[in-house]
Amino acid sequence: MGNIVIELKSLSRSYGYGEGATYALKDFDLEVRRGEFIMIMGPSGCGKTTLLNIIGLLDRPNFGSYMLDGEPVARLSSRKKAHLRSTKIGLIFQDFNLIPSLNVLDNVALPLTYAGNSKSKSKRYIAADDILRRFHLEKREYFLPFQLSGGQKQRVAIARSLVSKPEIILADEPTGNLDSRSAHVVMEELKSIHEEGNTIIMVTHNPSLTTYATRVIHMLDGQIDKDVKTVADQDLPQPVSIHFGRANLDQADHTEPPEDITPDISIPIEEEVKVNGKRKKNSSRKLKKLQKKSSKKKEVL
Amino acid sequence: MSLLLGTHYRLAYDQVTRNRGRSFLTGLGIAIGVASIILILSLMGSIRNMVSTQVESAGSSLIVVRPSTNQSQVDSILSDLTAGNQYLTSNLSLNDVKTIKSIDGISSAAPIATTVTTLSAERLDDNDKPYTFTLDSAALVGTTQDFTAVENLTLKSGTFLSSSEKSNTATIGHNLSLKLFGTGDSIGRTFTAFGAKFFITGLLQTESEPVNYNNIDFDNTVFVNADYLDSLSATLQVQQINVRAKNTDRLASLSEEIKSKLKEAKKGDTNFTVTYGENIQHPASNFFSLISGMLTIVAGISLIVGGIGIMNIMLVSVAERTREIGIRKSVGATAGNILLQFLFESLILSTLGGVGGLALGYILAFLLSVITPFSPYVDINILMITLTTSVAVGLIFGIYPAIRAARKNPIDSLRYYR
Repeated sequence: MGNIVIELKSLSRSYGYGEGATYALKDFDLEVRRGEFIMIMGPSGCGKTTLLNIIGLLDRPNFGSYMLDGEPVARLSSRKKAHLRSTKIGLIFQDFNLIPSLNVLDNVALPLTYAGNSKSKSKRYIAADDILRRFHLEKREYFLPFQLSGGQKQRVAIARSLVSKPEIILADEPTGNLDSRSAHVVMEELKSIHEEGNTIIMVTHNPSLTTYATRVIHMLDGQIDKDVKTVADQDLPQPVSIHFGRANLDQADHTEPPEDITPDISIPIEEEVKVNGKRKKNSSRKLKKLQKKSSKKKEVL
Repeated sequence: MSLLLGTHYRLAYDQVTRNRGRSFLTGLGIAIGVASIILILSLMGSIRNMVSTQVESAGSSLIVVRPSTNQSQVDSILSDLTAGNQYLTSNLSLNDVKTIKSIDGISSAAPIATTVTTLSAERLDDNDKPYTFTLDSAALVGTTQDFTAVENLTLKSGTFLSSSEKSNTATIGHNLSLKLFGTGDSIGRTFTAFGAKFFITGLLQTESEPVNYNNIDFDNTVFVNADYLDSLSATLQVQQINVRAKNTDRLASLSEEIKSKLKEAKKGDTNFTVTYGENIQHPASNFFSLISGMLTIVAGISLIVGGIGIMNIMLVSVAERTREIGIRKSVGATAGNILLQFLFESLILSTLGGVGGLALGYILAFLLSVITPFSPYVDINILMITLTTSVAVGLIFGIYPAIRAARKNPIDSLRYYR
């Protein structure tokens, strides 16, 4: 049975003052166990995104308490919260929110940059490369976001949210801007992530996606209207050693890779080099060298 | 908190190089300000260097006596500017030269009494007919034969003045000889000044050092006997007395002795300075300092304008990248990370501008040296001033946009669309 990883008690978040104040959340109580896949649904303005922002430490409630892994969040400094966002919490947005001036590899490695650990740049790139291989995006590493399709962008965003191996993934309508095929691919990815024991809280308007969830919460006017568990607590997937290296992929990945969604702009490999310029070439050579070294070490082990 | 200096530098550098045109124009503002400062510092350094080299070559036993006031440096400069004629402020006289020469330990002392007058000389025209040629505003210096003992003068031909104090001999500079007589070989020729005739007995070697601690352009000056000149001109003033000590061991005590003897001879008047060694500066050094200070202020104003340009562009950059700031904060960037990122960008812009300004300043100094005697003066202090100024401008004008970026709310930033 999963531990309680998120505990919200009498949480309220309002905007405005006095009689003009509107409550996005009102006396909101919620307990989230480790390994749950929670879908949050509700009409526009019911407080879904506000809830996600508070859980993701991007916003603060006006009243109530928020315990993350048993620790009250209200006592945390902004620096500590930022650290948690880079290590413990992964965020996926409807608009993908990739930095347009950075290539895919740099975008995915971004949380590791701010994680404050002592990883060197090359190690961060190796970790990013590993997770991009999981999502079969290794050939797009040096693409800029504008060169990707919507589905690919969302997969890059998911990869970014997972690169620092967070315990909690918050997804705000991740399939909202995708076609049905891309949405299905993204949901399958989230499903496999969940099966590894991660806790996922996802906001969606699409009722057909609730089949992926272990718990569905309907919100109305800042409060929980309905809370339905489809999987018992004792049956929740437990966390396994999450390792996105090639060894694990060989052992665990028995499913066929998802059909690769070709980008809207068809760009052959040669142009890939030209579009991104010299630096990309050098980085690609350096990365391949490091990868060779890294795979040799694994063989020895 | 990890400072991520390398990461921030790389991000800032990428951003600056991505918008090359914008970065160039922003850096140009700083470059112009820095170039102006470099030009001024190089000019002042060149003058100081020229004078100190001259003083060194003149020998370490040189003592210089000049008129002065007991006012502060600024008051002294202002009263010099408003006195109408700087020469009228001198309180030194030829008697003071005699007083100094009487001191034990002094080997020679020569006055410098500069005046500007009209010279006339007989010349032959193209048809060999004689006519009188007049040259206005020619520099005439009254001194003594001792001047060759205190100053390393090189004569091209002839002798420097004569031993008789009342003699109407003259020694002329090469360029002035050409102007007055139409020839560089003018020994034996005569000219008229103050209604009296003078005979050229010596011709100076070309010096090409118009800026010196004597404030004499040797190539364009004629030297005559001070006593004779004094008898002709009622307004003759001694601007400087050059003194040569017998040895270099007693310069300090000799200087004090000169001060006390002169004070006694002048009945308590102490409005003069006695300097030796590296303290000897150009006579107008106060004036140069004032001018360079004013020019530096003007250059500083242009630096402020350049800094405002940096602040403006950084604010634009922050506004353009509002969404990016929200994304970075959502994946773990702290306010400090965001602040450093934008501050680095500002520092890179200002430093590149500073380096460009340094190069531009020295190019201008080099161009100036082609038409003036002031060669570019390179010094580690000037480089440090440039670097420090650039970094300071980047920090001062970059901190506000960086703070604005750091304070952005991540939720509002993520919703922002350009």
